[in-house]
Amino acid sequence: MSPRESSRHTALLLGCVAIAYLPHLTHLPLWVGGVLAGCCGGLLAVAGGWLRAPGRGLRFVLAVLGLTAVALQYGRINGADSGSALLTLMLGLKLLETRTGRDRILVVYLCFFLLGSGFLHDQALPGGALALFGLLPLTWAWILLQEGAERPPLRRALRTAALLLAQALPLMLVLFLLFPRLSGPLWSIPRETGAARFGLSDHMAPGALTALGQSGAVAFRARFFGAVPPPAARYWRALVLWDYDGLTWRNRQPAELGPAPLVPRSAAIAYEITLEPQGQPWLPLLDVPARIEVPEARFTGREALAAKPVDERLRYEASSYASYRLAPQANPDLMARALALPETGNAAARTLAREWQARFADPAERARAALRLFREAPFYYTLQPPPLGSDGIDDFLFRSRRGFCEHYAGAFVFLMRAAGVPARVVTGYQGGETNPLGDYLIVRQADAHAWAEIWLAGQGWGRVDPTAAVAPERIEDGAAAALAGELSVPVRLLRESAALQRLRLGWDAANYRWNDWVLGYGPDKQRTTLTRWGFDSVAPGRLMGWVTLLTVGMSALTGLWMGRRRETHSGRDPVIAGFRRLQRRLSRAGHPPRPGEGPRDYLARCAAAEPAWRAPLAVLGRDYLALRYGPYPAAEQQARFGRAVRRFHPRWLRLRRRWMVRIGRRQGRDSVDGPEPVSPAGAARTTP
Amino acid sequence: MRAMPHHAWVLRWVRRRHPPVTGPITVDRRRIYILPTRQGWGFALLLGTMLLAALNYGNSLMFVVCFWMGGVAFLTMHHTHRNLLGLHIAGQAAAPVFAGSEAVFGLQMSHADASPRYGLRLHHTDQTHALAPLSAGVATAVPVAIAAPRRGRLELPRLGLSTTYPLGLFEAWTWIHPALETLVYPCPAPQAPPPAGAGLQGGIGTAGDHGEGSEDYRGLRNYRSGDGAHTIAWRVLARERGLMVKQFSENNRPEWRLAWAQFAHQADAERILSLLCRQALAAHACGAPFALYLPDRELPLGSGEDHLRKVLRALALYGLPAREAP
Repeated sequence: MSPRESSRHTALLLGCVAIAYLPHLTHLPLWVGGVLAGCCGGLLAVAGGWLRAPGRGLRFVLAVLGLTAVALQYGRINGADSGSALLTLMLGLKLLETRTGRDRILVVYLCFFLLGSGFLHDQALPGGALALFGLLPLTWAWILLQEGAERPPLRRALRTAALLLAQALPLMLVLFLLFPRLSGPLWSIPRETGAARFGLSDHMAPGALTALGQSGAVAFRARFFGAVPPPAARYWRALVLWDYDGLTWRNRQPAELGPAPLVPRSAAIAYEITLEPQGQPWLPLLDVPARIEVPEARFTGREALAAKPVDERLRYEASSYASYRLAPQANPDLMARALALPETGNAAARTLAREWQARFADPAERARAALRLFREAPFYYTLQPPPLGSDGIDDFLFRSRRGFCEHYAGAFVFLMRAAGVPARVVTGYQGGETNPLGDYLIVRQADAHAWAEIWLAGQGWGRVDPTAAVAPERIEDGAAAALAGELSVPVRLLRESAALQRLRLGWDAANYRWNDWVLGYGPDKQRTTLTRWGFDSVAPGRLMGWVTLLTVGMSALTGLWMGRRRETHSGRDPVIAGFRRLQRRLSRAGHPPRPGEGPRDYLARCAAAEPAWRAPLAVLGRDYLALRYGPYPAAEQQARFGRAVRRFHPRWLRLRRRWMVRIGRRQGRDSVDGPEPVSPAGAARTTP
Repeated sequence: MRAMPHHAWVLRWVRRRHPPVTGPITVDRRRIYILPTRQGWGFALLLGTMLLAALNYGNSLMFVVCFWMGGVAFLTMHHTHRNLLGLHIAGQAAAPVFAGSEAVFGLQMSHADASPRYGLRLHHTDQTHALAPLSAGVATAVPVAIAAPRRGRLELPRLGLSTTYPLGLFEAWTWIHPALETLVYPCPAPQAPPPAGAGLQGGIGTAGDHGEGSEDYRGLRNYRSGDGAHTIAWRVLARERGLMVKQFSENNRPEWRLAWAQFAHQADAERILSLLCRQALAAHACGAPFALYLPDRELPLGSGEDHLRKVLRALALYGLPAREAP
């Protein structure tokens, strides 16, 4: 192998490794990438002759070391991340011993595998889709690294790679749509790295939600099967919190067991939610949910919990009622829990609440009094509330009066309980941005919200949102509008500029479609899609039958197409095609070939008929005969003949000559050169 | 040809199915065979593993990679197949050679594609040669050197033409067997006694007979069909300056009678033929007219290239069953 070829191989291999490792760059530990880079350096050193390739013993030691390191890092070697790390190390070791063509091909294979395993980590829109483009350069390198015969030039190999991928694209689509999917994993998938926990936590303290207020991250997207509820009705329930310890709202024991009885008083609203992974088990639902379709989800007191934290995007359908009576019959245990408060603390608030209790016999009236307080006293809705002292509620109600929704909800529930009204805190999201491009709602972490529910005899639990009393625009126009002055400049820009807004919504719609059609194409989606397309059975056997049939059929079509392409090429001998063109042009100029007339006679006859053609036809005729009947010509000569024919315009030449003759005659001169054209019949046929 | 089977019964079947063909051969669909290579099976294993992982993790993009590359792998079958389809192969007979050297047959390969064809390999008698890319529109001459260990007729054996282009996952091959043969002259003995009537003392040997250092060497001229293989200037051919023939000046020498009878005491007929061959070459080299007397055949006195060829041919075919030779 020539040194040039060898360095080309090395460059190709390194390129492949870089492309395959790129998707893993951010999530594999740094040392894995370091080892791979070291192995790449080793390959360069070996190829450059500065280093001897490591022997078998050394490679074995390195392999064992790598295995141990991965096991130590992850505690296992057969998961998704540890598998990727192991694959990377194997690839590195393989690089060190790459000598033969077969070794190089194996490296390319490993690169394909590594690229594919990158999707276990990230298959979201920009990164995942971009990684798919890596298939082209890998295929390209695969062609160029073939052993044995002389390799095609780079551009030609690239074209072949692109052609192969393009031809395989329909095949891929058919397989993707029809290949039967499993509803569960084949073997248990261990969770190695908990997904970053982000979003609502299981408790609520002052400041808990303000952290989310600035986040533009998508919490979930909701698509309604009917009309979309108005903004003020978009309360998404996630958690109900019962117990207060003077600082934090949480659930010290499980919330209600079993769904509280619900009496619907309006039509059901059906919708579908695509929840982004958040590392928490709660499943947000439109207030107040009646039904959810997630296997193994626990539907407790009108809140839904997945069996385990949601680490992958989850789609579920549910239905809710906007108007309802929730648990109208009192449950004594729960009532006691809904009235419980710490023994001490927040004396001023308690005094105020007792005052209301004495003044208003109707519990609803007491709630109205509290809302009136929020509305009429100078309360502010802000993302940056001042810190509160040990008596947080008192501090907030009578001193700072600045707070985010959790301050208002917490204070309100405290006041209600102190006034003898059963109350509880509900956290979740409020609002959602309509995406006109995708006909769905985007609910962001910034829409996180907390509100209260109070229990009234005969009516059951009803929602009261004290934040609405302070900042009605929070409920009508969303958190962003209510907090417009406080959001950081980029976030504000993003929300206010119309063009950026369109761009942002378009991007989100693309994401939604991608998640819906590509990433979310599992067994359920496959069943509904194929049924809609008229497949009467989606049993795996049936689908495999279709897959086989379509694969073979499409492959046969491709084969036919390629065969046809070859034949049209053979029919495209430039010399024959050129002569046909010449015949066509001469025929249009009034001189079609006669039956049985050979090319030499034909061209001679034409040349005799029109003096302007004599010289070019002599050259063309000579070349044609030489190319057709002489020794096998070079492609360049053939192409030159084709170009010469294309430049030969018999009618134009004749017209030009006639002009010259006419001009010459007008100027009194005798003639230009040669006699007058002789064929009046031909001239008549010239006019198109 | 790694994928190509080599069992005896397969070869028998191949012999029946693809007998020697006179005239040019076009590789059509019925001549092409295709099977996955070891690398192809390896890639299938890789895709299978990836499919399992995709199924287990329900990972859509892994499915996409798997199906896309599966489709690519499947469709390379057509590309590989097509790389052989429509090749025109015309055989060129080899010039006669002396036993112990190689007969160089030629294949003129051409195709009607717009772009060159890459990655073709030629197989014959346990050898594999990677061919240079076959350019579009131009016939490429491919030399096929076949060892000629014994005098007589040498047939071009069945050739294999294979390709794994573009990805090496499938190997397509075809068997081609142009009906070509050439003569193999006896290997000239290094030394031979001069024939009766030559008027020479001592032995005649390789040195001085011909070769570029010879005094009799006169120059080069273009090859004409019928020139003896030993006169071809191989070094000139190797420098790609065309087929040239070395010429030697003719000196008038007494006539030589090359007679089997002179060596009748030798037991080995092949040895006698070798000695006669050396004598004939020596006679031709010094320009003397010579005649050949074999037990079953006599060639009258004569000189020149044609005569030498006739004599060598008679030596080559001595004792072999008569047949129409090229």
